[in-house]
Amino acid sequence: MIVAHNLSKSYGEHHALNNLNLNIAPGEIFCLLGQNGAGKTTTINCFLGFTAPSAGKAEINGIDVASDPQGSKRHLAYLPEVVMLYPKLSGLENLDYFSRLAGFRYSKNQLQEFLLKAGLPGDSINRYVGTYSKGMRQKVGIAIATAKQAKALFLDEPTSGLDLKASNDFLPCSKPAQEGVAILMATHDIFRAKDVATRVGIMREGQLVATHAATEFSATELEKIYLETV
Amino acid sequence: MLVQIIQNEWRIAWRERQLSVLWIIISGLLLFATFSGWQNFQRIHHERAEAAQLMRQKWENQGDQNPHSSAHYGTYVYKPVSILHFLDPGIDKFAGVSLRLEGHVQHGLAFAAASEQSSLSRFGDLHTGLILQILVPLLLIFVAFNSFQRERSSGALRLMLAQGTAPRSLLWGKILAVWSMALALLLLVLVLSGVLALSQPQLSQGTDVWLRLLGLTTLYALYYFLISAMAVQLAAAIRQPALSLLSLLSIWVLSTVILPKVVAASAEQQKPLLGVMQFNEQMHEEREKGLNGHDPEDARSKRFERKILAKYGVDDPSKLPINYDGLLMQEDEYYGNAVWDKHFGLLNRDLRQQAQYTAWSSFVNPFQALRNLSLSLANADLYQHLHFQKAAEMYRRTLIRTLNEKMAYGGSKTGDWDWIVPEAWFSELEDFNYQAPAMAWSLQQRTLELVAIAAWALLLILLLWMPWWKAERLL
Repeated sequence: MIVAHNLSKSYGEHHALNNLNLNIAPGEIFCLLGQNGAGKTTTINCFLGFTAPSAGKAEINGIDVASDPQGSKRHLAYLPEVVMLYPKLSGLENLDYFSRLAGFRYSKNQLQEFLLKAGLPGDSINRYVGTYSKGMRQKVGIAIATAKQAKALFLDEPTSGLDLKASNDFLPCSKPAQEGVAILMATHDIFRAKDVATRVGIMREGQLVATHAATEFSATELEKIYLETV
Repeated sequence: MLVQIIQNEWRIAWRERQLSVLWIIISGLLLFATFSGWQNFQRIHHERAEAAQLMRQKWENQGDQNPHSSAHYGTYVYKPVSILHFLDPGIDKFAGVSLRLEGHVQHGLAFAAASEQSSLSRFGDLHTGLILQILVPLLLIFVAFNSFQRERSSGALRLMLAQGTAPRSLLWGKILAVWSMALALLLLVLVLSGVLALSQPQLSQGTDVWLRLLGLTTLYALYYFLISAMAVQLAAAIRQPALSLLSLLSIWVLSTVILPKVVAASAEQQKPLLGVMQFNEQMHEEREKGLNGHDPEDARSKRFERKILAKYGVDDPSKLPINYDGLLMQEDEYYGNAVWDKHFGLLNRDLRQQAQYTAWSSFVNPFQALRNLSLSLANADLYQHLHFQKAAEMYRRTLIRTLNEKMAYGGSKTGDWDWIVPEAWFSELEDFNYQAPAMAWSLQQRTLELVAIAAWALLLILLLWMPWWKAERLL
């Protein structure tokens, strides 16, 4: 579903992404770990069509992102690190707008359901997003991603800056995998990665240097491997 | 998708207090300026109509009079104020509105003030046209800038693009949203203008006024499209907020303030106009000494006398069956007309060349096209002024010729300066009835500006279709 063939991105002499090969099957959650600048966000940007690869190919559901960026976007949903949304719109209005942009028209009840499922408190649904905490905004982001009913989901540092409770509340975003969605998540959060991932990849200087099944190790062992690798 | 983006832009702009307050202030200013402009128009219209009526009454009640005395007595004609004066008052203030008509002399007051100004088109008063030309584009620039920067900094832009919004659709959506905000302001003015014009049906008769109002609305709508397309594309292309805003504001200042002044000053340098005193002196001198400087008035008079005496076969003007004085005065008029035609022809040529100079600058600065076309559609520009001036001079020529011919052929004899004509005869002479040119004529004078503004629209649409508008560029 999410496939990278020798995907590379260079900025002059600097290789932000170097020969990445990746294949994430439906129902699989692949967590990309790595330090800042390791190439995690660049990888996601290549799949989103926000960065043109210097070489190689990024494919979503068999569609080459570079040659058909709009076509590939029909099959993906995205949750950025910072979901600021429109502060002068309510959570419900934000979800409605972004869903309409993706071509979906939901009833008010359906929209509320998406937000509630994402963990947003019922009494805040009609409040301006400007009054939300980061965790609440993130939940609206999850609702937006879920409502798109995409086959591929990209999560860019989704728990970054969230407190422990909010990070735990984030777990619903792994649910789509149970429905056959392929998920690529970039994160620093090794423990969360261990909790939700099917496979874990470790990136260093633009290269995917290690890939492990999440069940192979405990969280502590994974942390050790990570520290040794990076 | 476009509709969603437009609706959202409106909703956000309305909820963000700064923008909605700014929009309300500009709407209020527009309504105020339009309404006060209308009151001003009515006052000027009545003043001029009353003055014209008074002059006509004086003319008709001048008593039994010698035609030549009447020619010296003269009259005044007033430039009728265009009903669209309330939207764009044009150059009236600078070019004068009344002309004294009398025998022997052509008063050239029309450009007295203008020739002493550094520009023919200096506008200082607050009027609807000024707000539409200066303030509304500024509002659009802020809306466009705010729209992009807000979404860029909040990450909403990334999410929009990830949701499948095509970059070009996003740009079009924002352009149409910004444009529609301007159209709403324009609609406000159009409705109020229509209501005001309808309140004075005797002034808004005929289709020309309505065509002009429609033309003005279309012109401003097109210009706002240019501004919206330019502002959105620039805001999209320049990522740094400070640089983006600075660029947009610089373009606004350059196009609305600096370039028009530079172009006007440069046009004047290319074709400097004579001062009023110098102009009148030259006219006077050529009338006395002849067009080539070697045909003095005395010599011309003697030649004419010989010609007339030969024609009638007599040896002295006193033996003529007609009044020779009337013929001589008319002959002098013909000569004066030729002098006027030469000097005003040259002045008009220079003024038209200045106007052409500014017209060409429309290809660099669409604001110039807007301003020129707005003046033209409001029937208040230089070309219309020259049209009026020519019509007034033609009327003067007919009037004076009629008086001179009455003097010559009306039954008096040469030297009979006490001969008088009954007052009723003067009343029968046709009053000055100026017909302002139709819109098609006005637009013909502004072909360059029309082509320029259309070229700008085409260019900005073409830029939107350029392949560089990719998600990568917008983020």
